[in-house]
Amino acid sequence: MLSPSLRADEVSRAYSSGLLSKRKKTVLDRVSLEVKKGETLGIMGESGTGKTTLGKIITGLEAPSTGNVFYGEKSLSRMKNTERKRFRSRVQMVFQNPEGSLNPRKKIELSLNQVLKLTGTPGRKQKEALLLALESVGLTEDVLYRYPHQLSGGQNQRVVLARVLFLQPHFIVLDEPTSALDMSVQAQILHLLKRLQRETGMGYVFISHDRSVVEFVSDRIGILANGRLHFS
Amino acid sequence: MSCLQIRNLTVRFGTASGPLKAVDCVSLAHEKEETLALVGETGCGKSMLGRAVLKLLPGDALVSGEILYEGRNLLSLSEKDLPVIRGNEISYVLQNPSLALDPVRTVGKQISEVFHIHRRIKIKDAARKTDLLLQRMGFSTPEEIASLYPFQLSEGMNQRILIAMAVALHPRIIIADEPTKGLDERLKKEVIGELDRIKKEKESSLLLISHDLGVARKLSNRIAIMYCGQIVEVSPAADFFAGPLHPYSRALLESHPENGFNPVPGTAPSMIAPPRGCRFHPRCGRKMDICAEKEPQQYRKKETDVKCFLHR
Repeated sequence: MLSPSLRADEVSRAYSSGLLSKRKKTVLDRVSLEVKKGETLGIMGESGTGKTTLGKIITGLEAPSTGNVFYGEKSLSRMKNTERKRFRSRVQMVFQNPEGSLNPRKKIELSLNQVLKLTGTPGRKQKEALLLALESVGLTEDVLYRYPHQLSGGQNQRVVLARVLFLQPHFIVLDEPTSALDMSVQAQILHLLKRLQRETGMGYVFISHDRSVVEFVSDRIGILANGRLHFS
Repeated sequence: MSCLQIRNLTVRFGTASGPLKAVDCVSLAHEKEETLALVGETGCGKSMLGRAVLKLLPGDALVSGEILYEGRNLLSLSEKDLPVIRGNEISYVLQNPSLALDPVRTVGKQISEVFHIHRRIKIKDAARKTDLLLQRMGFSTPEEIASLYPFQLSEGMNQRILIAMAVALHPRIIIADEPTKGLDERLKKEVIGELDRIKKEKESSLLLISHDLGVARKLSNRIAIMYCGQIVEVSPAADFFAGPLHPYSRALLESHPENGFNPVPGTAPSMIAPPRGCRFHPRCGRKMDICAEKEPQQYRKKETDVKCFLHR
């Protein structure tokens, strides 16, 4: 199983609301998709069409109402704890708002170190690993000693990417990773994502409402509308 | 004819590492009934400039210069005099509608408060005016919308609620701070259309603050580009999009999707210790020796003002 694919098979998600009279709203309706290592699958759709829900389901952060997510041949719902742990490090998610993904009370060094420790990197090699990760996303050592609010949105999003890269993921689900950023910074992050993919062979699921951005990064594009995913 | 004159405006903050100049000696004229787009990267000081007009800056801001509106310097007005200007004459559409609206009060109550406080209209009548305003803003069921809380509306709808509040009293100047940030294409189009319609209908002037040149292109007559607290280029929109003069303006335009997402090289400098000379020179592909030594002044080229030695 050298390069497993990430696959969603007939995944549906419905939410109920109301205390007495339960109303059911189907957000995702039998959605299937597959992404392989080294490729980028773009998911496009307007706000509120369930793009983020789909991202959370394929990263295992939310359970589908029906259907299954597969990593390689293994269904996510049948994974044992140790397998699930490995899955979590192999399939990562990057969210829209980088400030919301970082602890505002901790300096960047601590936020990064917490993840680095999970990888089992020995203490004496941690600094070196930190600097290497920062370099790979185009940042320098001085950001380590700052808080998220002292960095720009683009710098914070790079920090989030560096943190994800420690885990050497095979897949990253990127949920609107540039929509909170300026046009110029957006362009920097898109080029960075492309370079990282070339260097590591990661697969991306790139979620965005912005057609031009999705077209720029994706090999294939799916459009989410009325709960269904349509491929062109 | 100018409706707002900003002269040598400086906004400073004291920080542990030294004074931070968010706006550095900016002079800008906003003409009557025009849409002036103030464009630049996040953190360049554009919101601070917009907020300074209505004295909505944080309490620790140190402000100097003049902002002239109908012969009065707005910066010298007291808090007691400001409500006459705020909302009535000049209104502000804050960025991020989910944070700008009160989450525990219905949107109807928040809009009718504008009529109640500024025009002393009775609550019942204010609610009726609110329904009419919501209808004009394109909501087909205004009474229902008025009874909802911000979390029950989409980002685009909340943005329209903020615009409704801003135009309720028919102000002469509307300052819209990133009104389309984070919205999808359909909602963006909706908000742009709304702003354009209201501006024309009320013959107001619009100061559009945005990082998005695409939005500026659709709405504005003139573009002002801001970099690291300073205005580096002011140009008629048509001339700007035909060929901007400042290297930063060019780089900004190049980063747009239709030009292939070419990023501006490097990162924005610290505003506590900005580079000597031209602030853009460390990132500029056309820099000369003088750029690192001396700060350029504004040079006039046809109808464009540009702060760059290339156009001496």
